[in-house]
Amino acid sequence: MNMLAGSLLPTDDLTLTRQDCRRIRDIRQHWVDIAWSTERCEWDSAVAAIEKLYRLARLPQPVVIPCPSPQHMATVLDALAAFDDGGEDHLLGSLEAVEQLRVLRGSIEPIPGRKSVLPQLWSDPWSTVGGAPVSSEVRWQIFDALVASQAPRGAATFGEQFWRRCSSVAHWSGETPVLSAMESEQIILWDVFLEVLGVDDPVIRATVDVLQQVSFFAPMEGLVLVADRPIVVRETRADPSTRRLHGDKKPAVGWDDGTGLNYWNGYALPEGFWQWTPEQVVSCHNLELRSIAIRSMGWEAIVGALSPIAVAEDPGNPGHVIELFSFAVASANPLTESVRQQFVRVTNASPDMDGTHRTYILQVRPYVTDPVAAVAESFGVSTEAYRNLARAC
Amino acid sequence: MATLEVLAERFGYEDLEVAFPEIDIPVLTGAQRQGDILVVPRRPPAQWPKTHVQSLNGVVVTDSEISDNTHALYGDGLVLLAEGMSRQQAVWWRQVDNILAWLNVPEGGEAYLMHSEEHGALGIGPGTYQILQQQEFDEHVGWFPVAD
Repeated sequence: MNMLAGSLLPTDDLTLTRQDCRRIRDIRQHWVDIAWSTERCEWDSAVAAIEKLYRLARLPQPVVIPCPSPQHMATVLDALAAFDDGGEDHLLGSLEAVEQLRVLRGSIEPIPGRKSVLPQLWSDPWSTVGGAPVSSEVRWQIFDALVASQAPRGAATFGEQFWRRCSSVAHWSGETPVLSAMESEQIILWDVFLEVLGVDDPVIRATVDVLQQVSFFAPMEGLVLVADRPIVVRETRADPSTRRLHGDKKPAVGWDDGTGLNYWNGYALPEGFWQWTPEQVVSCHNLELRSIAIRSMGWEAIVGALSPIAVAEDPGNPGHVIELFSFAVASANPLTESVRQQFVRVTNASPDMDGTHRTYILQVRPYVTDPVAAVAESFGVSTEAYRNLARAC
Repeated sequence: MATLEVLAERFGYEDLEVAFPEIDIPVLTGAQRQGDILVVPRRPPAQWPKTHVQSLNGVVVTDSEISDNTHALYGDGLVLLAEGMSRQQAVWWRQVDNILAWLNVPEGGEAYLMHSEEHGALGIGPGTYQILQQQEFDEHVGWFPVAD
């Protein structure tokens, strides 16, 4: 990006010392700590940092709207899209979004086609310094230092899970106009360029300063939305070396306004997961979610809805069996009574750290009577070939 | 024969969460399963295409929908991923719908299929293999790949 053309790396024989690598690891940990902190935002300080950023970027001073959560911020983004483009007729969001629209009317002027100013403040770090002398050796040193992360498992899918629920994303032509310390890869890299490699760019530095203070940041023409940090982050540490976002029948990450995201051992769960019935479990398309439901509800809660057909030893997985079940699903067609589905229950050959083996249920073709044939068919191989499996893990 | 712990360190899986890291991982040439992935020996095709062939080096065969887990290949050999092939290539190479890749391990070589969390490693000896994705069946949609 042209804005940054004068701020490339300072030397053409750049190397990293051990001390530099330690600093990179410290920077990474600093951002992980910020992202998963439950400390309240200091709004006065955040607003001052935002005003400084807009001044440095030579943008008109914005109205700053603090939001209690990113979910609330998404609602404001929905309302803003309608507000700028013509009013309530275009608003397809929730009641909260309609209410937010009223608030916006009292505080800002509509700007048809309002744009995010993120491209003026931010860029991909590598592409920006692409012409600079960053040797592949230095790149690998940076990557190696960054990999030593203590971010909880689940963090990598956090942004995707969040934005999937935000209808306003479509309004921004697929480009999310938001930066967040909870999706911090680029932020960490920029901080490394600023603090360790000596890149000097006041706008990037000011943006990084804002991101130290808020959890989500959406800078736009004349308006900035910022979201507070969560009030609770739940984790499990079954293995002390690994953090995992984990809430048992409650959100793993929760905000002050009651919104939150569900995780189980680092796996992202859909909204309403904890209220699922056994029928919803078996008809869910995701195998891992079914397995998590079995673990959290207990197999007994699920098996009551299933009728056993047959059991057979699992080839290549000594000591474990494949169980075949049928399940009657209420038909959507009033002329037919129910639809028969069949499932196998299989067990992981590799034990988890606690010594238990995860179990999964898989939907197989109806009217198969041999459990091994049902699994063989699910891989598209003959039953004989599957019986000769050398090993499973 | 290498242990799971040695392989995890060699391929950068330090936080692998499987019990008994000291178990030996045998290098086999028969069919093997890693969760929803099946590695099956197959007669090699007449020739490998010139495009889409990659050395192993951590090639991700498939990943997860709700986590950052992957099944990935390391060690000696070449892999041909079905994803990204042209229609013409796919007709020839995707002989069955659920094939994710072809794998060729040279004489004297050994390849490994690693999983980033819950499964141990598969050791794969010399030969040519199809890597197959498990599928589920629904009467309304037919066969569809397992999602995890």
